[in-house]
Amino acid sequence: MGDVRAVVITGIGVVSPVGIGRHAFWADLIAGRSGIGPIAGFSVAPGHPSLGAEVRGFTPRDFISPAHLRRMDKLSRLIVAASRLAIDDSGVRLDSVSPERIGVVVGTALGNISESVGYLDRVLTSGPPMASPLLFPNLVMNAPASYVAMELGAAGTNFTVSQGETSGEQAIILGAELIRSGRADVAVVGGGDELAAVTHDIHRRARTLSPRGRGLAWSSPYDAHRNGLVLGEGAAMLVLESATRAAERSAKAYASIEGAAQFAVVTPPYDWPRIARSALTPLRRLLADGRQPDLICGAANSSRRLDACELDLYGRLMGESASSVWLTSLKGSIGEFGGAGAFGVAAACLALDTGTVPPLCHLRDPGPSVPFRFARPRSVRQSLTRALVCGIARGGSGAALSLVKAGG
Amino acid sequence: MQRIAITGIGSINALGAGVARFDAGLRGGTCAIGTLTLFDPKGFRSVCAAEVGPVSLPASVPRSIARRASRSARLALIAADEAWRDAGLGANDAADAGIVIGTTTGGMLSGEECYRRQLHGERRQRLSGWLETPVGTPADTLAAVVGCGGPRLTVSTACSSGANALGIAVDWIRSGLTDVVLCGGTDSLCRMTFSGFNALQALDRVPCRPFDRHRAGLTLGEGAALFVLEGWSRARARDATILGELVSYGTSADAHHLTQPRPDGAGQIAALRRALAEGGIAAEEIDYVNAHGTGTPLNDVIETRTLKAVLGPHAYRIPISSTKSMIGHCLGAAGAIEALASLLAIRGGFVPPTATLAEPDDECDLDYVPRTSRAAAVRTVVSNSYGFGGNNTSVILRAYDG
Repeated sequence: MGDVRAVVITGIGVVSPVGIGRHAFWADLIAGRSGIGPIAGFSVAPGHPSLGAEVRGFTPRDFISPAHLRRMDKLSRLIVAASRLAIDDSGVRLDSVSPERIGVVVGTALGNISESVGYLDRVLTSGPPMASPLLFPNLVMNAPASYVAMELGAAGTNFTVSQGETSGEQAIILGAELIRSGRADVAVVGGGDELAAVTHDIHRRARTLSPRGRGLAWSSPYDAHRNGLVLGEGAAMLVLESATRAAERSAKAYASIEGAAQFAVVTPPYDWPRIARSALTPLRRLLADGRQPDLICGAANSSRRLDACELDLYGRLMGESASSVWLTSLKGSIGEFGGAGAFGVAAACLALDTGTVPPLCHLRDPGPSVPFRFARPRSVRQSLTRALVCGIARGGSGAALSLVKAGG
Repeated sequence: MQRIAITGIGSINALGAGVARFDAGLRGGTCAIGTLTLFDPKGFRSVCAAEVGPVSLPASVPRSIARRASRSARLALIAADEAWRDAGLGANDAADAGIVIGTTTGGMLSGEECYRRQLHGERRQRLSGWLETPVGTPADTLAAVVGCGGPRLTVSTACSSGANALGIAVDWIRSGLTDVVLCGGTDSLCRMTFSGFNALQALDRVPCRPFDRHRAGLTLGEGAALFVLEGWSRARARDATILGELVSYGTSADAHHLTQPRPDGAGQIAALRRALAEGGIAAEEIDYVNAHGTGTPLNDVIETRTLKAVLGPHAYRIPISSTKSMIGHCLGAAGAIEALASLLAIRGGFVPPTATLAEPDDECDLDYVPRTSRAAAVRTVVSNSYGFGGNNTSVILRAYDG
């Protein structure tokens, strides 16, 4: 496994359904607020699941220069704003870093999906001459990362990665490697995705969404009565630096990235039991030598099978000590989307830094035999040293990070 | 720093399926660019395309996967099957093998077909087509067929995706994450990119003419190239045939514009310098440059300036060519396909031509190997890939010398 011990997280920027900016996000999260509500961004047919976790009250021009903003798509706006917030939070003065030493890694599962569909709609209904030359460049998966580079003047390595629901974690792991290998002094990394009508419709047809009015009304990860997921959106970006560099400029670090695991299993899509089983060995390796977490931030999204497999996985992983480990998932607050893993890392950093376990939004009944500790209905003050953030994707791949409280 | 051995290669593009057909086409200077047939060509300004034609999957692909796999995934499956067998690896070796795939649009063609049916109110709408659409899906499909149980990643940085996939695989091996990686790029033609480049008026109406005075844009192509990369000691320990060495890569961002390269070439220059520095390679060691060479007025001039800026007078002494003149611009696969062309040049002792170059541009005054290939001792090669968003990557490959 890649040893990324010397990399620290010094900045957090989020644009989320529960708050914009680190402070608002964390305040809402520990207050147990959920960003889930009736979808406003597009119309949903009567009788169809109508809930979503949308970003509200977001004013892009507060974060993005007008020249770039004009052409920017929604996902790029979310990711660029989160990047700007992360840089501001880190206190990194961009003019003090050589541009080619600033790297950017963005993880997104679907990219600019809403404009892609709109663009295709015109081409398919009105013919190729109606294709928009202004829109097309925004449709490449790396448009958000390129806009981040333009906005921050980041001329270093610029990657966009995509691997389903682990895209955010994968981006952060790759970014940590840029710092560890000395290819960059500052890396702006994370992930995001947007809630789009087409994604909602495909999930509805695949029957993965929480139906309204049956059982619990919305996303409730790890709850015994959970009945499906709710889609969300947002972007979480982090600033990574070497521990040495952060110390030199007396910067506050939230946490250091102690290690990472990337794993996969050969399986048909959605075979959660096999995917979870394959994670056991790499995760054991990641947590070996007494690197046991106090907090696990899981991928659970309120789907019956994924959450059950995760509980089984973590139960095996922690064994006897499970009863002293806090378990959480953010999906009850922010919904499910490809870049959500980056939010898991952001929340884990803030949990370690503030010594607070965020409550598990909507959890009412964890069931009789779950050994873990859940913060509910309120957050719990608790000194935490180490957190595990774990993501697994429908296609059979996974990624996990082990974070340690800075100075811990 | 551990050396990286190339132990397996696989290919499919407009020149045909299999490395042998690619090699023959490059030597013969065959322009495989034709006319679009994959979907309705009506209404497009330019209908030139370098298509693969009908794609038949290897027998090793289970029917359940063959039925639903997108065209990009199918192209990748063909190249992966060849590369994996070429490396002499079996099912057991796959358990820890990583996979890194570069692609721009993944299964978009499948998604377009679903959307078209939906618009036309067709009854038969399979959900599986939608599920094959995300760019990460070809990597999942490949992993399922080859059996790769190691780390898995899809990189999507527009036209440098394939080159970056090779670079990330190199990093994975050097950092100890895994010892063997199946990596490369794949992209099929689709309506989105074809209409988009047409709308940008970036496509030539005749087969693209890189570095030519009359060049008027690029020609889109499709295909896949897959490599098996291994840690040097692992390859040696199992007596693998080492086909060549992937020495290093360098990347940068222009941080300038979504579609136009920086006029001063600063980003391209930085990427090439990084690749040379990381590999410990002097400019004078470069024997051949496989250029990005799209055939757009801007790219070819700026890339020429980049080569002069980094290689100095040496730029005038070495052959430089764009294999896009034969197989078109394969977008997310291009970086991997062109790295493969570079390896074939090294192994075959020849330089592939810029097949459609008739009348060089005044501002493009280097040796672009017009029309026909040329015998030459080629030991060290640079392959350039530049993408939308100002994403620049240079990859360096070298001959295996024991």
